[in-house]
Amino acid sequence: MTTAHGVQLDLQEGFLRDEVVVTIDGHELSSARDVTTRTQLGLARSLHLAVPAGAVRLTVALPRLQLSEGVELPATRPLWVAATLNEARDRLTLQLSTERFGYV
Amino acid sequence: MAITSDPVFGDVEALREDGGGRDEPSSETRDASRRGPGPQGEARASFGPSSAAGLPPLSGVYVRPRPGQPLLGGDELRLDVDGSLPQMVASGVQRSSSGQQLHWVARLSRVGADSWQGGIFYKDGAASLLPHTTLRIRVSRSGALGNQEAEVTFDGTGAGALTHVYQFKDVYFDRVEFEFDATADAHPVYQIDTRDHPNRPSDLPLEPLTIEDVFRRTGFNVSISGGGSVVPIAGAGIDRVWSDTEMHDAMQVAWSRFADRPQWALWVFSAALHEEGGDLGGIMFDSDPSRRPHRQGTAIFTESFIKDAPAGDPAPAAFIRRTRFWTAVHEMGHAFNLAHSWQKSLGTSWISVPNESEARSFMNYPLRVAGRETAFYSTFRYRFSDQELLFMRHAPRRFVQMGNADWFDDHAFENAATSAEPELKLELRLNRQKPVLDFLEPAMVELKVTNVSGDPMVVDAHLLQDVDNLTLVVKRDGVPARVWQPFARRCMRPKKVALAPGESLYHPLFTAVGSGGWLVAEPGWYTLQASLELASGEDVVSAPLRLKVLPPRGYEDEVLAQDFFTQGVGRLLAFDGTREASLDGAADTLRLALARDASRPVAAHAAIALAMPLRRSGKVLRGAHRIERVEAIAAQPEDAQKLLQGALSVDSNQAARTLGHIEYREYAETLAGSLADTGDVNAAHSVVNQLESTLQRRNVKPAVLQQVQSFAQSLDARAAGRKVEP
Repeated sequence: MTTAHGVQLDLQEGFLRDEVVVTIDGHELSSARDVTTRTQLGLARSLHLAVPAGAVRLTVALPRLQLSEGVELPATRPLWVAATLNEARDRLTLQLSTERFGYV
Repeated sequence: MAITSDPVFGDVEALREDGGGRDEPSSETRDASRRGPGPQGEARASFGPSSAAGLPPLSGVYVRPRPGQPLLGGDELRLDVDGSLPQMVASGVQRSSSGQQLHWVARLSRVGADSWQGGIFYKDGAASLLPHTTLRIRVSRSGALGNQEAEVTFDGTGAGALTHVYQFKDVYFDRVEFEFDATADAHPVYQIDTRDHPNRPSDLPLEPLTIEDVFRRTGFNVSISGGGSVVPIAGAGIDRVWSDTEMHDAMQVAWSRFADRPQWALWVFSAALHEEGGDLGGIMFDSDPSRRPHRQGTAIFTESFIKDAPAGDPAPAAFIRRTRFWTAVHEMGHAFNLAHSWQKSLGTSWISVPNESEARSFMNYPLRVAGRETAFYSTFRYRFSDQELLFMRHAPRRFVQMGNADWFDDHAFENAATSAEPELKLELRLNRQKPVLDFLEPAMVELKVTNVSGDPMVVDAHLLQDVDNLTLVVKRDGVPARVWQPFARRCMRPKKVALAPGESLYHPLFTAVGSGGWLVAEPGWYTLQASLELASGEDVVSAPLRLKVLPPRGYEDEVLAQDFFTQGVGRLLAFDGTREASLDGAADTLRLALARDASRPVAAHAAIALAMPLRRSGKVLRGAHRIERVEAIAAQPEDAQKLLQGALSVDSNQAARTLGHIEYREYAETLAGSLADTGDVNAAHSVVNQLESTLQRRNVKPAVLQQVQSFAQSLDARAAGRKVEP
């Protein structure tokens, strides 16, 4: 569960043994290896990010797939971000939410 | 009592009439209830409601017995044209006397009273059993429910029509058993009242609705096992969160029907929270590639986010009850191998199906549709989608049945025509305690067939060597199964032998690679399963053998693997080497594997493949695209002996483990014979002595040890009469 000042990044559909690198305003904040979606949940992993105050741009990159996508962060906290790969695994999409994503 | 015929739920009043012991005085008491679903296990005729004319339903299962062949099972027809959520589909299974079978599915349109026609769009199995492409169905009613017959005429090939008559068997397509357990701190909801929340379809039938009702309307005859146990939290330790492993362990202990095999049974466990936190509302927890079977257990975490209602909801308590109920059915749907609505096109699908991102189905997330929960529930009718109903009612049953096909995958031998009382038992085994292979170590398994009939049997001595009767499926976790194809097939003259009760035949099988390529190579877990077709047409199916291939030990392993897992190396290993210079590249790879580390299991296989062609003189054909000459190749017995001694004698226990006892003995006796032939009888005896002691330590049967001793006695005579190579 995210903290009042945090951002939770949910790596959702399409991940398959991927490396994921998360940067905030160009600085690496977090990374994860061997990220694979559990299809019965539609979720691979949740990353709890301690985003510095005043940070504005979150970028999620998958170096092996040469994919990168960024999003401007609103000041609202807590905040949830969903990252999804399409079926062809050639497009990464980020979606912001002020409500958490539930998984079943 | 008035009968309401509803287009979705059918006979609503008929459902209410049989309360099955449910006493539902109010929403509040239901919500607070901690009991399981209760003893409403009796099948109710709710799946097939009356037609508009008040006639009995025609949907259900029809069978066509095969006279004189009760063990093979009959043909089956599933008719899905009325009753609850009709799909206008027929499906069936055709079986042959030789044990083959075909599963077919057809779309139907009505052409008259109790008559339909359509086209077959799906076949799985022996297609030759039913080459036809269209069908007509006519059902003859004869009084009460259960007496009708279905006459099905298959046509459309130009080869002539085929007509079969099927007898009605059941209104339900399958029986399934659910067991509900919960921890004391969970708040499971197994039943709701559809009237409790105001956001619903305006024409939704207002009624009490149980989980069993949902699945009965899907076509399953639901019964409940166990007593709806409440698991005391004290037994779980200090926390109230559950890991997948803990739930898997709990399933084996708490579920009264737990079995490590496919069965139409499911365990539903409710607890407070998963260890991953409040974002996880439920999970089908047994889908780990390293642990099978899959899809037998689901869990609902009632104190996760599903305990919350949206701000401003007009009936928050009813909203939460509905969400908990929906979550339970959703997780149970996964156990029937249903993916999420937006994932339908992913993975291995039985037919090509589109995603249904806006479906009002138990398998969609209310939060994911446009307009979120409010939009979802305003048109949600407590059902699965048509595509999901098609799968659950008409797909090959191994895809649907719990514990059978893997989650998101399918495989194995559910189609085999096995006998209820088999006379032979087939086993696949590795000659080692732990089923673990070193990286690059070729998989050699042993087939064993045992007479379990209690009476002596006459069988073909080559029963296990005739690969035409053998099917071996190899499946690496996470990828589709593959059928092993041998490099060569031998046509052997039948030789009848008597097999006493408890007596067995054995045969080694080089399963790592076949003519279709390498099957056991990459690191990971594999499942192997064999089926042997007997002359009677009956299949004898082994239990699955699980084995693990370890990861590469380093960069050099990875580099070598690129040349090792080739068809050339596979052929050399399968055929014990080559004299053919064109395969020298493959032989060089084996030399490299041997030179890098002679203590590795792969080195024994490499040394044997390199040694065996050197034992005797031989010949090869030469020429470009045509035979120009035959070239003699001289024997190099000393080189062969050196290689074989390195493979077999340095670590005889490892040699027996990696080659298997049968092959180890064969190669050791070959080495001993070669040594005797070249005059070194002492070395020959030394090899046989080591062979005997190694097999003895590995608890090989005394009869085999006696055969080894007899072979040893023959060595002196062999040395005395040895021939000297020119």
